[in-house]
Amino acid sequence: MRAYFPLPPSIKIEGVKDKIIGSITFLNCPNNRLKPFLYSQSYKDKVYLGIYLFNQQTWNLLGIEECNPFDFLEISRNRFDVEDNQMIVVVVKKRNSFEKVYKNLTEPDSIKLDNSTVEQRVSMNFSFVKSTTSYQGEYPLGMSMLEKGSLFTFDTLKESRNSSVRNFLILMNISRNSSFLNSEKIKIFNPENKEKFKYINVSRNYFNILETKKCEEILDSKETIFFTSKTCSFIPIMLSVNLKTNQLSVEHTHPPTEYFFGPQKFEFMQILKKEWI
Amino acid sequence: MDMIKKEIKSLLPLKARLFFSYFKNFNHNPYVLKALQNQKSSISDFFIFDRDCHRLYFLAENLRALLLGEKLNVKHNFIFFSSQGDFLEKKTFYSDEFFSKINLGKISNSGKYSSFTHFVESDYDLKDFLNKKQTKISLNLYEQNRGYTIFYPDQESSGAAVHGNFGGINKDLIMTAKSSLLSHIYTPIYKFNKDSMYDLVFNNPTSKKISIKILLNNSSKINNIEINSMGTRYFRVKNYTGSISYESKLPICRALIFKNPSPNLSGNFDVFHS
Repeated sequence: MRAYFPLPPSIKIEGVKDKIIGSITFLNCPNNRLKPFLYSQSYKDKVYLGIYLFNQQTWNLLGIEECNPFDFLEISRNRFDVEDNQMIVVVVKKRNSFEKVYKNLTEPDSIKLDNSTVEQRVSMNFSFVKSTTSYQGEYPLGMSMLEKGSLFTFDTLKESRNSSVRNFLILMNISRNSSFLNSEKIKIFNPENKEKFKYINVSRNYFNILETKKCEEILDSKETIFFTSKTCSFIPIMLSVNLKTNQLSVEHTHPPTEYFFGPQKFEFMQILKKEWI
Repeated sequence: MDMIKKEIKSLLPLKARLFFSYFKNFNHNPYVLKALQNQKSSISDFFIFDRDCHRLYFLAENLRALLLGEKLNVKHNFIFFSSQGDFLEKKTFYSDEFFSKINLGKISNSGKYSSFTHFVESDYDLKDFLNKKQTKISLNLYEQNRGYTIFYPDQESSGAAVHGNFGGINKDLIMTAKSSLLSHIYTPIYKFNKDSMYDLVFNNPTSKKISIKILLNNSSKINNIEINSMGTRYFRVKNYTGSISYESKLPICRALIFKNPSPNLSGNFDVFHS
């Protein structure tokens, strides 16, 4: 499966001078492969990384990077004069064939050599003062093609007992077709009182950054909050920063498809969606 | 051609489709065929426990409550195994929450890193649920126990969370993960830095002993570790910058990486799947 690599957002924390800075680390090497033997293929492809910004309803080329086999490439949000949560996407290709502007973002190439499992990824990093947290992430091409999708996630990973910690839920969407511009709404509610819900406006092709404390204020509840959408898919990422120690933590939450394994998992998913979304 | 392939596929019974798909990807399939054909159980990821953390929480999902749409009492069972793969102890916690944050406490004789499984038990079976919903779906799937482990490297620090990744351990402790005939090389897309120290922690959810070669790609040094079934081993990386690969017969061999491991007061602790 091919994938885009979103450049994580930077985040300004209310009342704090330093910002959280997003970056990615790319390594030009298949992340999983069969061990080469006899005449099997060795990896020797140079690749090109097209960096695109979604702005004014089109994908605009910010730059192209070249990367030799087994070399690293680090791209920080600091390099670009853009807003903190604008969508920047890195597209990997085997040929330097990027156009300056796309209405429909060009598809990435795969650098896989065989059918080994685990998707191609990058290290998605968030840094604050001298600390950095990372996870291995990607945005699947198939998901970026969805005109209609859904979301079911929660904020229980938030650190609520430590007053020095700020928690952010980042809802990331990439829609490669820039004509999918419907404004979207996320429903938020306490699952124990799901009739009392509120809506939050969010956008496609954007990092929607929700501070969990503010969502709690909206619902007047400090308990777990559910976040759902019946029209658009997002990858949810929970980021915490401890302002006393500067320690960061990032992790994405499992989509509900991960709760089941087997041919009937989508039927069970439908039941779950019907209940909550 | 693709259309014809799809048509032919749709005419085949499910078991035959699974069989062909399995052998097409024989060297890459992380689970045994039998497990894919007989999916009526509950499986767990194989999670890592760190003895030196000040505290370790587990964020458990209550799938039955989520499906029902209302709180429901369940038992969250945790079974702990030593670094050698021996059974250590079982802990049970009761909760009716949709998501519960459970303090796992201390485990004796665990070694620096060890592993555990998580299973949910309830008087309310998924079959009862299907009857209540009056659906025609037969129960032919695994309930996956995934969850998140949250490591606190010190009393004052906040937690670093990591989701369950891989395991396939049946609730009767039958292992559905397998090793492959040919070796794989797995390279996390991560630049290790000499200014930090890392523990690469591997566990073995298969029924056989496995060996893993750890290749520091900017050095000629190769390190080997062997792990018993249900065991856990780690490799410490110091003063090294560059990429690292793991060579093994596991189709998916992804260490859990502890950056600047616990106990750690300095705020630069992190945990992530490689």
